[in-house]
Amino acid sequence: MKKEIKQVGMAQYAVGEAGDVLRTLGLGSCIGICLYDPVLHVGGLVHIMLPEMSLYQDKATEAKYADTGIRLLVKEMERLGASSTRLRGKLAGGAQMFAFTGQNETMRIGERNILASHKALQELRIPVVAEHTGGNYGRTIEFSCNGGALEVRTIGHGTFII
Amino acid sequence: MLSNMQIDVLREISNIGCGNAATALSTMLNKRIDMELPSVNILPLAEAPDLLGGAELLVTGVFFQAIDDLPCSILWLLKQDSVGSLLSLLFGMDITTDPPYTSMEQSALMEVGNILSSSYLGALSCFTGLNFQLSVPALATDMAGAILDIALMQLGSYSDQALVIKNSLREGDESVEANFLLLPDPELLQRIFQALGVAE
Repeated sequence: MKKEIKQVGMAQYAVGEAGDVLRTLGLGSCIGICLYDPVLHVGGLVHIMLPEMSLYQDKATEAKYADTGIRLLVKEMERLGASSTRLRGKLAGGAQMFAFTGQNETMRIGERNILASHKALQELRIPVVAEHTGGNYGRTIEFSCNGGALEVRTIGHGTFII
Repeated sequence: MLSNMQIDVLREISNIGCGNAATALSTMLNKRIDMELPSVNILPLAEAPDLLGGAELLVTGVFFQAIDDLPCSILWLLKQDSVGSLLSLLFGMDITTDPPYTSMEQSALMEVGNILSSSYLGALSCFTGLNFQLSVPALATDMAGAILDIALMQLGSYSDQALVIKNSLREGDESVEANFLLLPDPELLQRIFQALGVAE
C-alpha cells in the first residue's frame, strides 16, 4: 500500500487507510478531531474552527463546525468500510492564544470548541480515548492510520504522542 | 464575493490607513519612514497561513477588538526578523530577536500596534463617519496558523474569505513587514462601500 501524507487545512477533512498519515498544522483555538477504526485501520481527521453550525450564518462548510464536521467525517469513514460503533476519538487544540481581561464569549472559543467536540462525539457514542487540549499555545498534529497514534508538536511546550 | 471595484476601494483605504500609520511611527521615532504600496489579498481561509509563510512559522501577533458603532477586529502579524527590526528601531539599539520577549519588549510591540491600528481606523473613520474604539491589545508569539485562528474564526463565522493587507515599512536598513488583518463584520464592509459609492 502506498503511504501518503495528507495535509488537512482549516475547515477541511481527510480520511486515510493503514500507512497514511493525516496532518494539520498550527492549531490554535481550532481543534483537530481524529477518529480511528482499529479493526480496518481507517482513520479520519477534521480541522474544525467553531462549535456548532446552528449558531453561525455560514451553513455551506460542514467541516468548519464540531457538530457537523464530526458527522461528515464519520460518514466518509463509513464509505471506506469503517464502523461507527468501533470508532475511537482523539482531540488536540482548543487553545486560547490571546489573554484578554474581561473575557467575552468569542475569546473563549477554544474552550467552547472542546466542549462541542465532546458533546458531538458523545451523541454518536464515540469514546474520546485521549486528548491534548486547552492551554495558550499552538499545536501541529500528525495522526497515523497505522495504529492511531497522534503526535502533537508545539513550539516551546514539547512534543507528545497520545 | 467582493467586486474588483470594492477590492480597489479596500486597497485605497489600506493605502491611506497605512500611510497614516507610517506617519505616526515616523513622528514617534523622529525618523523618516518609507512605505511600500500595501498589497490587499482576498483568499480562502485555508490558504491564509501560506501567505504569511506557512502555518508553522513562528510569528508575533497583536490583536485588538474595535467596539462602538460596528464591531471589527484587527490583527497585526510580524515575522521574527520584523519584530527584531521594530524593536531595534524603537530602542535605538540592536535587540536580540529570540522569543520569549521581555515584558518591556512586549509592551513596546503592543504600543506600536496600538498607534498603527488607531491611525488605520482613523482613516476608516474619516471615510465612513463611524466611530471606533480600540480594546486593550493582546500579544502572542507562536505558530502562524494558531495565531490566525482567532482572526479567521471571526471571519469564518460568516464567510470563507479572508482579507489580508501586507504593509512594508522601512527605515534605513531596518525593514518591518507587517501583515495587517482587518476583520470587519459584513455590515461594516457594506457601510464602507456605501460611503464610497461602490455598494452593490
